[in-house]
Amino acid sequence: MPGMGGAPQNGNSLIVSAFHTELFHQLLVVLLVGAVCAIAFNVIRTLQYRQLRAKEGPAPVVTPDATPEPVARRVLRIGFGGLWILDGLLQLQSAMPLGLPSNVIQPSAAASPQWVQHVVNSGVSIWSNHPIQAASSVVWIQVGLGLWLLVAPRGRWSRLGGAASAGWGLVVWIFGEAFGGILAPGATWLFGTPGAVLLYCVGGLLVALPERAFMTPRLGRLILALGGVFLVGMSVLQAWPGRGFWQGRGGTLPSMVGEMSRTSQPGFLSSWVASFGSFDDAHGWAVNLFAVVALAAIGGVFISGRRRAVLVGIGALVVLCLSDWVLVEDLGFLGGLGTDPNSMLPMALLFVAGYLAAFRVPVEADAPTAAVDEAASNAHALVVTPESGWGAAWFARATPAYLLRSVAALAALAVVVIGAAPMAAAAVSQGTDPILSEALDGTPNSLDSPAPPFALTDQDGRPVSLESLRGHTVALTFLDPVCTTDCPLIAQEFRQADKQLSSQAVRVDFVAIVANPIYRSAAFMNAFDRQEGLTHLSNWYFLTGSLSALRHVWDSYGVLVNTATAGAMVAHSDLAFVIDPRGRERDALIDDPGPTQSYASSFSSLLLSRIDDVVHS
Amino acid sequence: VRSVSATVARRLRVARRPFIGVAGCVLWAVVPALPAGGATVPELPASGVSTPDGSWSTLPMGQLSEQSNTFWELFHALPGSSRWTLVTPEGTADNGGLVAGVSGDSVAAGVLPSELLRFSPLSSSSDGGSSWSPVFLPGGLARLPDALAIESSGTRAGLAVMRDGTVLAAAKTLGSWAPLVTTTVLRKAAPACDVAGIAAVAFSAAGAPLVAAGCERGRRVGLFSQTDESWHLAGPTLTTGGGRGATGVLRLETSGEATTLLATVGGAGHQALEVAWTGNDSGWTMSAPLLVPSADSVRASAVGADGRVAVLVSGPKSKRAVYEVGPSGRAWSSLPPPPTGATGLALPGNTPTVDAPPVDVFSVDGSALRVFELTPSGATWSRVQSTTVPISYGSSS
Repeated sequence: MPGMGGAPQNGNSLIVSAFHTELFHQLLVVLLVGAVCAIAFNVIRTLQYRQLRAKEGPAPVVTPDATPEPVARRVLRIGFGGLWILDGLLQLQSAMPLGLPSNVIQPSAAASPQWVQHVVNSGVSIWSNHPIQAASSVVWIQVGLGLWLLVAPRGRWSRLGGAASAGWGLVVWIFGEAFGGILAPGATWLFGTPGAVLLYCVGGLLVALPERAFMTPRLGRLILALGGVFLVGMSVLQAWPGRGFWQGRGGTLPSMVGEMSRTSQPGFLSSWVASFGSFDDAHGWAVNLFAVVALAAIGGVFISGRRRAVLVGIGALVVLCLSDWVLVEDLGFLGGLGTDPNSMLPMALLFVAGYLAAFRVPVEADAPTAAVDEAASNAHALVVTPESGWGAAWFARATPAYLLRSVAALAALAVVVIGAAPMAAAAVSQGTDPILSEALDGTPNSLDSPAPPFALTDQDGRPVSLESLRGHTVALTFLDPVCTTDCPLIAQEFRQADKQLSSQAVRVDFVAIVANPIYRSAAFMNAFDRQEGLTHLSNWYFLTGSLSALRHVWDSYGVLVNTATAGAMVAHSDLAFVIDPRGRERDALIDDPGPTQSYASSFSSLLLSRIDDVVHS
Repeated sequence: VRSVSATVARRLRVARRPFIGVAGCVLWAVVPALPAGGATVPELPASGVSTPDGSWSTLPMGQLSEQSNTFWELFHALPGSSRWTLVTPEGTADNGGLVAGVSGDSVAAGVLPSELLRFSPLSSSSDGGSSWSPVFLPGGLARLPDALAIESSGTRAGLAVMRDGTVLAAAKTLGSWAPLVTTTVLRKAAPACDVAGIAAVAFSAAGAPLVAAGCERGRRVGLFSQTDESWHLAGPTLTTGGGRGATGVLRLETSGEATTLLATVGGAGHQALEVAWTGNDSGWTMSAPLLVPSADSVRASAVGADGRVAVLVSGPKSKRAVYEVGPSGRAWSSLPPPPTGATGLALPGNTPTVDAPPVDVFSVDGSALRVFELTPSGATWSRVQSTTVPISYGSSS
């Protein structure tokens, strides 16, 4: 029977299959984009070659920048690029479409203030209404961002990639991580505060800075100083009394670690985490003291800015981060429904990059000499004449390496757009994917047989029969007017479908037949209509009749109605039928509204599509 | 992220957004009985009332810690009997609460709105609950033990307190309801009382509507009666009470010639329960006050056909205790500690003995109901009935 109390499992085969199909289609588009970019690269190179052959004589040359990319920037770019790709690949998990909102996002927001939950829920509803589109979008957006950062090391493309990375990171931090849990009462650095993706944002912003910012130690010192203040703040938060971190057994940290160890994951990892949990159980106060002291000391060292001390601090922080990553954060993604490796890797990346930016400042090359050398060695550099326009100038300066990077960055941007476009479409869409309803209730049964006739009276006492509705498409269901759960939701599904029909609604009738052998008078049906806002719908009929007439209709449509004892609701089948204008049953659908608004809306979309098919057939 | 923040949430026991419940209408499978929940009794107190024609008791059963699996049941006992029969009307989920109005052998049972249902399905029976007829009531009943009253001899057949503070009255067949009075009207009728909200309805012995309300000040009980289309404050003044003397009414019942009223008045760190009795055109007889801590609440109450009143009181720091008072003695008696799971009370007998007036205590453990009666010595409770109610867990959520 339908609706046995819950949503489809995250691994629902219909959803997973649709997710894989969507990903496959998008992969084909990505490959196509790659092919187009490769062709474009070759075409441009061919044109360049022809131009080289056509022109002769010396001319001013435009050379690429001779200064190597600052090592700090390279660490950030490659590090966060790799992390974005890993995160994108983690989004490929089959459970992601249905599981992310309920398993990751909503629990993340549960401890946060109401307004945070409200903000997060707006994102959740987009995801929940369009799980396939949303899940596949995130895959390509994140893989695209990662590729973008990796393939575009210099120039505007690279900086744009950093900015895009920061922008998307902010979206994920707000809607996916509920502001990283910083507003939740149990926030702690050990478990990821201020949210891994906020660190991606910082990394992206640093990459987006002009390259000259890395040419002096100022940026690096600023990163270290601000990071030091942050670590000291986290130390204070960790030491704050009353937050349960000083407690051993039953305290906040052992409980968190204990829960981590209980998630499904590789055995060795589980045992490591469990061992640390046991150790923390026994020595909770000492463990917290260590964390407080370590964070404060490392933070203080970073604020001091002394090179040797900072180097030691970086080493200590990396060790601390890796230890925490393994023993407390549980690697962040191997168990449960992981979406990223949590905060410790990006945290370490940022501080290492800060150190490199502060103390491994690139030496400014002698630009003219280097440029000449580069020009001399670059056999493919093209001439630029004074009368050349911007396009020609770009064309001329496009060395093979530059061109390759530009085309690759363009391809990466295209991958991001391939993901972002359906996500944007989902965000503005009014409806919900019908697939949710099909995942919950199964696909509709297509029929083509005469619909069982009925002759009853409507909520206003007027006789209504199937014959009297001939010429209209009929959406038929069975409702209990004093039902407390499903029936009001089903009525709303019908109402929503009616609303979405718009001008076609004049050719469609929505009919409910009472499914309660006791409370079946017109007064109850009118009360139900008022309750559900159905009274103003001219094509809405709520039908009743004698008990024998009703039983006959229930039986003929295969609807089971059973009166339970001791204060329980009348049980009845949640069934709907689409009957064509000739009075033939065309579809039988289960209209169990499911556990969330998304499922109910999904049924409306499904019903609407079936009605639409019948109306236009 | 993974479930890091989820762990935090669980650790801190922060409430999560609940999903909307599913599919009560369609649940066919036999769901195994769940264990009884904790002692979290819903805020609607269980209630019992007896008339010379029989006794009625409404009480919550099932998994009391979870409203969707708390089903309210109506039991009936013949006059003088402690043998209770389940007579809960069928056809709708009553996990929002159930209230009953009784007159002789007739009863009306109203289901309180719950989940997505906004109005109250009503049923009436004139044969002791053996058969029921649905009755339409326009709106949702208030969450009060005496939100419903019926009368078989007067010009009006029913009174109902609605959630919006209106009292509706029905003509003979309960088929048509019309507004009788509102909180606003009562507030104007007795400015000194400063009506806080309607608390109960009943018919007087003469068949006239009585409406009880809370009063914000003055130690006066907000009982109103109607004369020539206008409403007058007719309640007694309580003997105790501190501060502004805010009063409330927990029960209002008429049986035979007597109307019984259970009132409460606040004090410093405690509240006082007082019972007032009146007959036709007579004054009020007041009981002694029963002082209970402010944090305690009346979990169940019963009014007997002879005017006796019993209450089951408990609080966060106190165990459940049962007290009883009658119009003859007017002093509260503390009865022995009730059995585990005590949820409801009834005063079924119409043949009380001096030594051991009959008091029934209902003990609920999931779907199991045990009825205890005070032994003749009055020292302990003895089990007189055990029964199992067929509760369909998960059917109405």
